[in-house]
Amino acid sequence: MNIESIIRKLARSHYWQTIYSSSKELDRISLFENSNDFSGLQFYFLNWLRIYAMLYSELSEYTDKKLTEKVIEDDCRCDAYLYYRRKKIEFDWKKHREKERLDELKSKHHFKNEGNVSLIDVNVGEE
Amino acid sequence: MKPEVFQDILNESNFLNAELIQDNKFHFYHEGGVYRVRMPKQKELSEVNKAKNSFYVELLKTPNALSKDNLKKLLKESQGIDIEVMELELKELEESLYKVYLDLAGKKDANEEGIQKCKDKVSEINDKRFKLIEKISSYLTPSIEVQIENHYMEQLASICTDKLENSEKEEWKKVWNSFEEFMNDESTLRLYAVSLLAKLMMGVNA
Repeated sequence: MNIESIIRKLARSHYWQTIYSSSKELDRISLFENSNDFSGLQFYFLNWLRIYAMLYSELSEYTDKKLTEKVIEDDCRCDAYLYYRRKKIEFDWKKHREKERLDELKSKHHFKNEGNVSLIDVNVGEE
Repeated sequence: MKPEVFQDILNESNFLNAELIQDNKFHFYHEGGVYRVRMPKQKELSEVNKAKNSFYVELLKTPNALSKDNLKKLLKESQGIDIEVMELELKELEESLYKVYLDLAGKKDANEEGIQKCKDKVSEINDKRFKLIEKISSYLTPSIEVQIENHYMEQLASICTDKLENSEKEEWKKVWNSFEEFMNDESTLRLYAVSLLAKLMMGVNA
């Protein structure tokens, strides 16, 4: 097992997840012995603590059928899920922006009868 | 550094587990002694950065010293080694990795065979990627940028490596008193210190 895998295993452990969530509520709990000059490994660990806390929270809310406990526990499947999740967020955001643009266009032109309106990008060359 | 030496270092660090992150130090054993590398303090970093800049100027004055870009050009012209093609290949491998990721993310827990097939593909692609990265970095080792980075890590390792002198009192003593002493040390401790410090810092320059 390489160092990255060991750190991820520690970060998703019940022990560290509990300490992490408690440290957000209680000031007196500190995660490390040092309070400055953090190492790269500590930053890496903190990043994974945050990611796993987010995934466990989403798992408890059943936000996505693709997310299961087994996915979280397997580094490769977890990486794959995180990539899929990022793409999904990007896609949803793009859809949301398009809807906003469409609504803006509709309100601008005061369409009386609502029909099927779609928005397309037209390349009109350089302005 | 030989790959087997680096692998040895990583294996040795396996037993440390939680110690990896509980503080900003990395403890290790070497030929019967207990050592540690620690994160540099701000003052030490600024001193090493000054030395890094002087080394850069020194390298610029050196005949035949090449930047990464110029070395790439020279490799292509004189040896027919095209680093840009390799970098493109690396990008393509990343794209194919993402495709497998999307496939893997869609697999249900019960589909063990499908999951395993995807994981095998991921590890096959990653193997190719790491070999290519290794190949590119070995070609670019003589470049000014890589030499500066190596010099920087060596400077830091020479400052941030301590030996446990008294375990009861937990007394640590600096291993090398100067950078010159560090450079003259022919033992493998120097290599261990540099690679472990690089691992501890993971690209963090604070």
